[in-house]
Formats: sequence, structure tokens, C-alpha cells
Amino acid sequence: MRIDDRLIHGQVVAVWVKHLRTDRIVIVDDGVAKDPFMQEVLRLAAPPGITVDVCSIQEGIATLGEEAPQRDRTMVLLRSPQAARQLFDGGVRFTHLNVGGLGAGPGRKLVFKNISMSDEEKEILKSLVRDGVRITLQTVPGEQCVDFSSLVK
Amino acid sequence: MERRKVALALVISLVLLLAGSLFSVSHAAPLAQGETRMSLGVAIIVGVLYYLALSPWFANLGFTVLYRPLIAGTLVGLVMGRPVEGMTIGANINVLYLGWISAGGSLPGDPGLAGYLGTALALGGGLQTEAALALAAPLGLLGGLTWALRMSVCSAFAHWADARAEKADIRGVALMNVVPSQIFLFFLYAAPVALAAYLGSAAVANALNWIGQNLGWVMGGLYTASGMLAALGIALNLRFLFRGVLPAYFFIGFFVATLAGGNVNLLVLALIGLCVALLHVVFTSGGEEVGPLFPTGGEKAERYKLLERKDVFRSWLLWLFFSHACYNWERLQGTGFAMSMTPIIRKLYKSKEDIRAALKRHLVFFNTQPDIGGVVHGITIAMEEERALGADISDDAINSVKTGLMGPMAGIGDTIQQGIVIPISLAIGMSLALQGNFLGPIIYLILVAAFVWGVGWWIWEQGYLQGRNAVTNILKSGALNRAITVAGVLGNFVLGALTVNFVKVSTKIKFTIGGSTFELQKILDGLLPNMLPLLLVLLVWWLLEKKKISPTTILIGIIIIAVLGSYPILGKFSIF
Repeated sequence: MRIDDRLIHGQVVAVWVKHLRTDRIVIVDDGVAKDPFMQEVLRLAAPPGITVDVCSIQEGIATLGEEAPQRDRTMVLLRSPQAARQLFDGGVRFTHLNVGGLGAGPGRKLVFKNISMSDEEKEILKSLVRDGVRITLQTVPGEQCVDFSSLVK
Repeated sequence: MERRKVALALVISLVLLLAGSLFSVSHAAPLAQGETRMSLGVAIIVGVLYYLALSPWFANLGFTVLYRPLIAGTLVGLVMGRPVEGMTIGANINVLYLGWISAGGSLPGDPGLAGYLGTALALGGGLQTEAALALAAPLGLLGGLTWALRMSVCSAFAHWADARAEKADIRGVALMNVVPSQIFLFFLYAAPVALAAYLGSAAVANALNWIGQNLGWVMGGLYTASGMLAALGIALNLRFLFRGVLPAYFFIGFFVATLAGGNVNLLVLALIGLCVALLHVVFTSGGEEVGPLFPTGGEKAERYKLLERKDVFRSWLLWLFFSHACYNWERLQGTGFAMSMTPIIRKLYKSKEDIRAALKRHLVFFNTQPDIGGVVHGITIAMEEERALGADISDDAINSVKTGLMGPMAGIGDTIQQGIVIPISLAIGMSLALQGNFLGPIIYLILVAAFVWGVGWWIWEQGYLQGRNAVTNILKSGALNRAITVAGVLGNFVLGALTVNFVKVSTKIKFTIGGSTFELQKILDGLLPNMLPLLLVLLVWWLLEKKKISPTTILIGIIIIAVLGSYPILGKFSIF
């Protein structure tokens, strides 16, 4: 399970997918679920041999919730901490969440390398930690990996 | 906070510079033993070259060409008056970085540092060409230190660009992408490397001298380590290339090169590999047709209404040069994107409000692969033109196209450029360089420039002409996947051949049975020449892929094993 507002991109395709031997990527995002053009682009951009499923958060809760215990070859990509919270509340009990990239913008503060967050997002992630989710910040395997709870007090 | 960081970084650079010059003045007396061939002037040139390799002044050929150890070694060799040795050292160092990919602003290891400083120290310290990699490999690991500093300090400059945008100052935004970051980076990169090259050469020379007199076997160990480290470079690449039946082509490449007798011209082998790859695609495609990349017909929006071709071209040029000039954690290529849009904004918008809004719109976080990702810029330019013509296109619409497409295009771009074009061109260039042929680095330069410039502009303009359809057309046409398959076969083939050229392991183990002495290496050669290099590459690949051992651990492990294995522990002879 990874939060990355760029969804599928170089790090995901060139590094993560090979590292984790992923065979399926599930993108849970309401915006993309409504946009057939982006769905097509994301499907076509995935490396050969990897299926890409796109669903809205509601659909995600339904499908991912049933799959527990999670299949380890599936990578779930989300765009924001809010989406992670919604999935969790809907009954998708993931135990580990990787934050790989969150862009900067007004009202967002740099937390770690290329990861910026608003105060609201920080609070959401903190609440997930309280619910027993291990949250790590790491862009690619082999790079420095830090625990969210050690970074934000 | 950010100002403090900038100030701190400048102070550190200046202190380093001052301390270094004082130190070198006080130690100006030439070292008695171990003559070094490094003058301060040459050391400074090496430092500046390292900066240039990471600078935006070479139309994107800095990072893709100058930064590679093959080129770095050649240039340092030229400066130090020993071009052939420099080129050979560079080629040897480069094997380690064949599979090196930097994606999304993360930089594992530093081939440029290993190339420039490694070659300078090896030449200046009088190290054998073949042993240079053992010295350069740990140097490459140090590069991460300056990288983190650069990525955070340049975030501050992005805010300076924001302030210019607020004043609707087009020129100011463009300058902020380049000027502050380049002044800072010049000191950050050039000063430490120049110092290290100057002071390090003497240190290396003295150390080698001492080792040579007291621990002769360690020298042999460094030599062995260099030959073995090449296996790590090849195995790192194989991680991406061993898919399905493709490993078979790795073995074909290995056997063809072995039959050809070792150090052969890889250009010829690569052409054989290309033919094999084309046959592979023909035999496995099941006769499906490849769709045209850009189908003619269908509706096409009219372009070049407000903009002229030269505006779009100028925009591409700015991107080509300065996409990474102010690369930073906060926006990545955000300021580079804004700079590339300046000719477009200047042409399309006249009122101060429009200009300010447009500049701010494009200063946000952005990151893609610079060549293939250019299609996103093309599409953005088209949208800006339509908007200026009165179409109802919101900021949000432009933004969502940019953020939606930059990721997928980067995924494809990294696969093609860093995963295929650069390693294969390098492999050809390196094998020529190893034979002392200066066409090696030159051919590498030509191949990469053709891709970066040719494909870069073509895809940029297609993005502009076709808008969003350009993306789906490129992706849908089978051409792209076929190209990737061809490259997969060719890559395996070439790496098989490179194993023969670059990986050097042999054993000195002997044993005596019934009065006659058997040399293990001779027996192995009789069985299959180059067997040990092949086994080593496969072993390292297995450790990386199946055991998930990190490349750094393997790198250090190889150096230790090679040096210890060279100790004459087994009586008169050692393992290696």
C-alpha cells in the first residue's frame, strides 16, 4: 500500500514493481475512476505483465476488503492520506503504509525529501498510526527509509 | 529557515576552499617518495569538470553523457596528458554503473564522482588501470552526501522564483531557475572534488608506495577486486533484463564472445545481437500488425495559431537545457517547467494578471523523464494556446493533465532512456574504449545525443500538435512494446558479451596428485573458457534478486573477499 500523488511513474515502474515482484496494481482514486482517458493512460503505462485496476474509494473498500489477508503481489496506489483513512474506516485493514511522494503546494510543509504534507494530512497519518498501521516514508528501495512516528511527534 | 540553509551551505563551501588552499600551501613541499602527477591547476579542472557534468549547460548531455565514467575518465585522461589510460580507467569504472538508474529525484551512488575523482586519483597516484575500479567504487558511494544538500538548498531558490512570479516578472522566473542554483552548485561540486583530487593523489601515491613495499599481495587484491566488481555492474543490469526466455540471449552473447576470443569489438557483436533480437520479435509476435505511431486522419485540432513553431522550439530548448538546473526536493522540476513555459507565456498573455497567473500555475511541483515526458509540455502548450484563444480551460484542467501524465510518461521514459538507450550505448562505447579506440566515447555521445535531441523534440512537438491523443497513440501502437522487447534481447546479448570483456576472475589454486601438478585454472579453461566470470555474474545476480542483498553490501564484500583471497595463505599460492 503506497501513497503517491503521482500514482504510476518512474520510481514505481522502474524500481518498486521489480523489487516487490508485483503483478497487479490497484489504483484507488475517485478522480481517476471518473476519467476514462487517465485510466487508459495508466493501464498502457504499466510495464508488460502487470494488470492495472482502477476503482473509486467505495469500490476499493468492497474489493480490497474481501481480499484480506492481502495478496502480497498486489500494490495499492493512493493519491492522499485521506484516501487511506477512508479505506481503513471502510474495513480494509492494512498493516503497512508506504508514503513515497507528496508534492509541495500552498499550506504544505516539507516533511522528508520529496514528501510534503498539510497539517490535516499529518493528523490523519497520526490517527492511522494510533490504529496500529506502520507508516514508513521511503521513495525507493535502497534509499533511506524512516518511520513516520519517529519524524512527527 | 531556508535562507539559513543557503548561507550555511555557502559558508561550508568557502571554508572548505580556504582550508584546502591553506593546507596545500603549508604542505607545498613535494612529497619525497611516490612522485605524484597532480598539479593544483589540473585538480581544479577536474573539479570544474565534475560540476559541468551536473550542470545544465550541455543541452541535457551533461547528466546523460559527461556524467558517465567512460566520458569522465577520457576527459580527465586528456587533461592529465594520458588519454588512453584515462579512457580505459573510465570504461572499467563504468561497468559498475551500467545498471545505474536515477528515478524520481533519488540518486543511489554517484557515477560522476567515481568517474572524475576515481580516474584523477588513479592517474595521479600511479595506480594500475586495471585496479582503479576498487578505488573508485567506494568513492561513488560518497556522492550521496552532496546530493541531499543540493536537493534541500535548491528548494529555497524555488521560493525566490515564486516572488518573481508574484511581480509578473517572466525573465526573473527564468533567471531564478538558473542563476542562484548554478552559483551554489559550482562551489558545492567543484571545490570538494578539486581538493580531494589534489590532496588525495599524494595520499594515494604514498599509500600505494607503502603497500607495494610492505604488503605486495594487497596490490594483487585490488586488481582482482576491480575485475570482480564488474560482475556487480552487469548483475545489477540483469535484474531488469532477465525476464521469461530472455536469459537465453545472455548466454548466446556470452558464448559468441567467448568463441570470438575475448576482448572483441562489441559494435560487431551488438549488430549480431540486433539481428537476433529482430528475429525474436518476428517469431514471437504471432503476426500482429504494429499500428502506426500517429494515425493520420481523424479530427485534428488546428495548431500554430497564436504561437509560431519557433516559440514551441524555443520552449523545448529551454527545457532541454534547464530542466534540472534547480532540481530540488520541494518542486523537483517545477521551476524548470515554469522556465520552459516563459516563451509561450510571453507570446500568449499580455496583461499583468494573466502573466502572473500563468507563471504561478507552472511553478508547482512537477517531475517527469525529460525526453519522453516532453509530450506533457507539448500538450500543456496546446492547452495554453487554446485558453488564450478564449476556450474555457481552467487552471485545474491544465494541472490535472500535467500531474496525471507526468508519472506514467516518466515510467516509460526511464525504462527507455535509462534502462535501454544509455546502457546499450555505453556497452558499445566501453568495449571500444577498452581496445584503446577513441571512437568509444564518441560513438556513445552520438547515440545518446540522437535520442535525447531527436526523440525529445519529435515527441514534444507531437504532444503540441495532437494534444492528449498523442499519449494514447504512442502507448497504443505496438511499436513501443516491440522496441522494448528488441532492447531486452539486445541488452541480454550485449551483457553476455560484456561479461567476457570486463569481468576478470581466475584462480591460482594448484594441487599435486601422484607427482604431477594440476593448475585448476587450466582445467577450467579446458572445460569452458571464462567459466569463473560467468559463474560470478550469475552468483551476484542471485544474491541481488533472490536474497535481496543490497548492492553496497555486495560491493564491500567483493573488495574484502578479493583482497583476502589474494593473501598467500595456501602456502606458496593464493586463491586468486
